[in-house]
Amino acid sequence: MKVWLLMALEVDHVGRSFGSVPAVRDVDFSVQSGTTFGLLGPNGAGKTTTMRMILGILVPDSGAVRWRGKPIDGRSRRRFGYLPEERGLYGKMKVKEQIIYFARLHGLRAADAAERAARWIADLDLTEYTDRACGELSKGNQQKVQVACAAAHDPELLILDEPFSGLDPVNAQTVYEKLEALRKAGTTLVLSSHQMWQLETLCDGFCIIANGTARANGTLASLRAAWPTRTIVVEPDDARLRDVFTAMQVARLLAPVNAELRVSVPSATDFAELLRTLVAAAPVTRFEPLEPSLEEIYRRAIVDPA
Amino acid sequence: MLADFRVVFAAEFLRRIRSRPFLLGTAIGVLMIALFSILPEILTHGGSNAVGDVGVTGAQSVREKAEQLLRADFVVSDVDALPPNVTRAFLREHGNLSAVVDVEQSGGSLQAVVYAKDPGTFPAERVTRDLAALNIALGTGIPTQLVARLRAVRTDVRGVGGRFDSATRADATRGVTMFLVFILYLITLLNSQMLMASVAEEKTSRIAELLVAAISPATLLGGKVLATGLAGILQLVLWCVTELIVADKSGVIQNAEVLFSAITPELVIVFLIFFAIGFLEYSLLFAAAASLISRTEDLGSFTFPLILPVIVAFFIAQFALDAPESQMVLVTSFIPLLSPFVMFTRFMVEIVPLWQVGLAILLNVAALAAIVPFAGKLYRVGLLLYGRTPKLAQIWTVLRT
Repeated sequence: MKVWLLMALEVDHVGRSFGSVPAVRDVDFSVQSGTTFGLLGPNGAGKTTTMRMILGILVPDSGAVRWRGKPIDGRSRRRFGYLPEERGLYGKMKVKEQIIYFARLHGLRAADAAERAARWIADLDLTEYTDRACGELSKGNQQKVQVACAAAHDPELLILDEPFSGLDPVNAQTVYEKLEALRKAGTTLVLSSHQMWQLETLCDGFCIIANGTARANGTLASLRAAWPTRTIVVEPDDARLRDVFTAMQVARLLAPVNAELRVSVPSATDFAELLRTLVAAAPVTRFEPLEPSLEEIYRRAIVDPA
Repeated sequence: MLADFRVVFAAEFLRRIRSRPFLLGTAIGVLMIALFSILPEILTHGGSNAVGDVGVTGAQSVREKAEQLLRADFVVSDVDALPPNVTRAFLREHGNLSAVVDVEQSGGSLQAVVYAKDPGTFPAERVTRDLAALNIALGTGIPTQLVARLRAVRTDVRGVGGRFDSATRADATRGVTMFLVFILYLITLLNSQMLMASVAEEKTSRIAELLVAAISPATLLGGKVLATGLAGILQLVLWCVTELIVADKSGVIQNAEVLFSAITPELVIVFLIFFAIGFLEYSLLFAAAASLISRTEDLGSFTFPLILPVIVAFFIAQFALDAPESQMVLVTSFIPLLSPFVMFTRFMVEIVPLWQVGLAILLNVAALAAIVPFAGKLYRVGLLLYGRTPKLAQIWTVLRT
């Protein structure tokens, strides 16, 4: 089996500068076909430049981007979809015309484009706005039109920069369901969002970029596995139990929350042995090692690249 | 790529011809052309050659003959008698006359006193010319009609080795050329600026990013420029048809056949060549410049330097109508951006060696060959430059990367 059957998108140590200013220094990750991949990073980290290099809008100065094992070319670009962070709609063009236009630019015939536009309009609850100029719509509805423009041609790779921006919870759910349906139908999704919880639920893999460099990447499980510590929640907050942790030396007592004892221990700790030691010292009603959240992993990667 | 081009071209063309500036510009153009064509007729009393209303008074023996002769240039009416002081009110009461001509025979000659509302603008020389026949008749005894007939000498001006074989044809061609140069000027300015606004809109609203993610910037630029060009041609056809209809139906042009004969196939071909070249040169530069703009407020600062050569070319072309052999006209007729206006004018009003026309076209094509990749790269790079509008040094740096 060829590697690209698994890894549809390969971003291979790409770098890109504008004049003397490096926007992306070294970003490296790969995305499996039919999965959702999250691109994380603070503002100015290089996410948009990376996305533009994937889309072939910008050519990398170093490294390469490959789609199904081949460099990005005009043909592959037509099978991609893109939702930029800032809205890109013709204000005076009608909703349906707009979706048809972008679908046609991605190679669909007029009749097919019209049929897809009608379907997306219905699915995104935009029917009453079909013949309205996009400039007259609310922010949220414009965002939905934008999503339809990016995805109406059923792209193989869909790149979404902040897809839920400006959407209320109901509309966010509608868009979320459409994206999930696309993924199930085989579309590979690459998206960025500042809402970590959304990415944590939606994505199978992640790449955290800061200062133009990939600081961490992999599945949430692999990122967690690489996390050096675990937080353990113990109840009740008893002095005898505290003494056990104090004696451990590698453990660090954290600020208690709601009468819970919270302790940070190395991830390699033998939790079964630790529980036995605690039970021997005092009654324990709760012992729960917590996995680090994506936000914790993100913060650590941004602050401490090591 | 061809399919993408067709999609962009069709969408852009429809957007252009549906846009308010295009519809308004075209409609105003049609109205202006119609108005300017029939204005002289409205101002000169419905198509006659009369230059004003005059009343004639004086001795019966000369008055009738004077009236007949003055009808060559004026709308003439009878005025029975003049008051001691002729006032404006008197002229107004007698049909808002421009003047009253009081004629009288004195010895063997004619004397005329003109009481004009505005002596500064009243064409007194026409009165003198018209009444000269009567003066001669009174002095010699030859019948007035005979003198009048003998005074009219048929003069036929024929060109020798020049572009035209007659003065009428020269005037007609000059008129057609002036009209077409004006149209070229108007279409270049209007459409290039519309194209500029369209590119700036796509850039500032981030649509450009979406477009270049799907298709190549060259296809996008080509589709936009040619769609704008077709919209320009549509405008051109509408305006020309308006002018021809107005000229034909209103009778403004005394000899419509002469006007139509000035529109030769070679005129059409040469005009279309220079129209296409000029339009492409300017629209590519306008589009490339617009791609650098991050805020629509900055459009003005980029527009002026590009409009300047259009204005200069237009004025040199106007000058070339009367002085096609001047050194300045000769030189500028070969300079790209100027020559679409100037060489076309020269070609129309003088005999230009074909090699000169060919050289001008060649130089323009060479300029286009340089403008296309330059504008293409500037457009491709400019579309993704956000933030403050870049300075020249920054543009140069980015262009080199």
